[in-house]
Amino acid sequence: MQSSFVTFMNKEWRHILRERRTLVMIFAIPLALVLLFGYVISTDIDHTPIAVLDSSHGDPLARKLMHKLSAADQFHIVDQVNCEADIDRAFKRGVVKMVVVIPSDIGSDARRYGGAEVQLVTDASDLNVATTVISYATAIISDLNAELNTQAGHLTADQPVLRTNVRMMYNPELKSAYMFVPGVIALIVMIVAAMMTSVTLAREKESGTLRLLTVSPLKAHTIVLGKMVPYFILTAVITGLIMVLGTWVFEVPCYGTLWGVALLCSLFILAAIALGILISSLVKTQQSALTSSLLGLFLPTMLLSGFIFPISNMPQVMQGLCQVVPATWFIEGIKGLMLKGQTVTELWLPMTVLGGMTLVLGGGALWMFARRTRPR
Amino acid sequence: MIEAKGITKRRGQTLALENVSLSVPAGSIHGLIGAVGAGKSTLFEILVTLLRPDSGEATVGGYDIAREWRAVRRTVGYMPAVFSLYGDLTVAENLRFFARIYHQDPTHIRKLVGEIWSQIEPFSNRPAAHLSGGMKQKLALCCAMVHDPQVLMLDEPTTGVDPTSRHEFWTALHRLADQGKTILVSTSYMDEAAQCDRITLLHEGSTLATLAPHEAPDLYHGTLYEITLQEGSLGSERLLPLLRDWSLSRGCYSFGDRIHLSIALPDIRTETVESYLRGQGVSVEGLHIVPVRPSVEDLFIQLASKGETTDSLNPDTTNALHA
Repeated sequence: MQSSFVTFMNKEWRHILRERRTLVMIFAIPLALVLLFGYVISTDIDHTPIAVLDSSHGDPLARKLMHKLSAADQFHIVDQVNCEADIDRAFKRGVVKMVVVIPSDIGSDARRYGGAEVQLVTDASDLNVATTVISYATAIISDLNAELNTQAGHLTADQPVLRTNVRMMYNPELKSAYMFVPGVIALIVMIVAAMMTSVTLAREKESGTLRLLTVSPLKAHTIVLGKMVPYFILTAVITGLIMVLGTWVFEVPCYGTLWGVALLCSLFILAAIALGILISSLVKTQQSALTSSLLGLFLPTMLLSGFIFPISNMPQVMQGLCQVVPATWFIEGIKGLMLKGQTVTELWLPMTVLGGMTLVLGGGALWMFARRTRPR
Repeated sequence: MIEAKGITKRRGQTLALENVSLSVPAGSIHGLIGAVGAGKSTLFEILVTLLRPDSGEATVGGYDIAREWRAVRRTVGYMPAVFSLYGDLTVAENLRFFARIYHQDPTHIRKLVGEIWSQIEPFSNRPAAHLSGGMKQKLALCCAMVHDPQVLMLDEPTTGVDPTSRHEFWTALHRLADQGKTILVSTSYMDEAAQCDRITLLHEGSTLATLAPHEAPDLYHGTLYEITLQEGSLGSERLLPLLRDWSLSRGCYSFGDRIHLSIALPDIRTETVESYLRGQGVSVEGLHIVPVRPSVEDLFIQLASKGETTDSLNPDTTNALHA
């Protein structure tokens, strides 16, 4: 005979698999979010349209520079600007992200000590894009410097066109994919694990099935575990998918160990499910379960975890609030593991805090649930 | 098998149950009769140990609901007033789920409920949400019966069910009672009272009376007349105020084209009613006036309106019982 736990879990799987629309959504949302953050909101640049204001009218050095810029994958020269006033118009049309201003005497200036000054103008209203574009451009220009110097037989860069020193090799802060993958995981875990658990429990309450479960011989912990395990597995699979998508499509590195990542994700998912169960014991309907998880879990995870707004820039009170949001510790931990290659021991603080939260929340959820199965 | 004494339960500001007592011997069907909001569901929730009473005590199947609530839960099969199965699971899956959590073999259900299961078996693979009202209730009964409980608590099992299914449902309940099951069943259909061995009339949380359905006429005070309106006669909206204002009248209410008139005196003659109406200028030619045996419903209305003025007894009160 099947154990009650397996029976209950099988029932739960059926609920999950039969609600096709929700199932499609919970797989589509992370996909959409990753692609959205990866491509659309991305501050990584790829064939970014730029314009050139060439006052030198075809100086060989200017042509070399333009050639070099358009040869790079990052840029695509789409426009020629004729005067200073046109720069403003080019930006307002909203196509180009940067205008390269080449001085009229670029050739003669370049031969003088200190070099010619190439001006890089960007649209600073999108600060993230602007800084990225500038750093790519300066990198390309310093490349050009090196080339020119080699050609001229100089060993030192004493004939620079523009002095730049940007390091692009290892700079996670510049690559947005590095930032958003942990954030998207945190959001999705909140949606799938916390929100769905709270809604499914609220549904049992609303439809009256919870009364039948209550008067049945099922133990409170059997019900709670029977709910937790399927949602844990479901969330873990989706988390894995986001990771794979992040590492394959956006080349997010994973320097840390896989088991460390798995441990951290598991702790976070468990904490989220516990939060979902807690929410469900406080509300009466599916609708209020949904709104409470949205306001109480989803928004803090997005805004108070360092995902969108850096915590260090927040006022003291908000920083304190961030400390009680599980996602804050998860994001800190996952960044350390994946991007910085830290070990689990080095990340003892986020690990312990998250583990503690999971224990407290899980215990609280079970206690709350067990309490309502006794006569009230 | 079910003994309840002085059950009182407050829910928010209102007193949901006030000093309600019950005694249901094994093998009998006891009906709880009352309108929506009379406290029937609260009494069920207390007896199946979902709720704790504020005061009073009860035993179900010999187990105390306060101290031995786990044993009570094993003893009862409970069917809540609202359909409480999994709509996305099929008939067979619902039954299997409830059988397994009680560690029972789902195939035994046929032995336990007999024809009821045969009636829903053809729909085994249909999601429970897509069943008709009658089928849903039959499935709910099967799920409540799957662990062969000695006591059945059925909260309005026939509400929203078609007449044929209601009949089949009651046939099944009688068979279960014959097998020795103790059944507490609530209904807001007055005509179903006759199906029970004994009934308790509940009104606004209090017991009005506990009786066998056939005793209703004996407990009725005064005489009951039924006035049937014929085509061309005065409408009930004109007749009711006239009858209500009569000094001998204890109350009157209509069921469509019939009016029930309760008269305070035990032995009066039909002519007395006719002469009163004639005196009010009403032609009695088109009216059919006969004394009738009071039904459970008439008794309920009489007891529920006790202490209230007859004016407050309008036809709406009686219709509410059917709602």
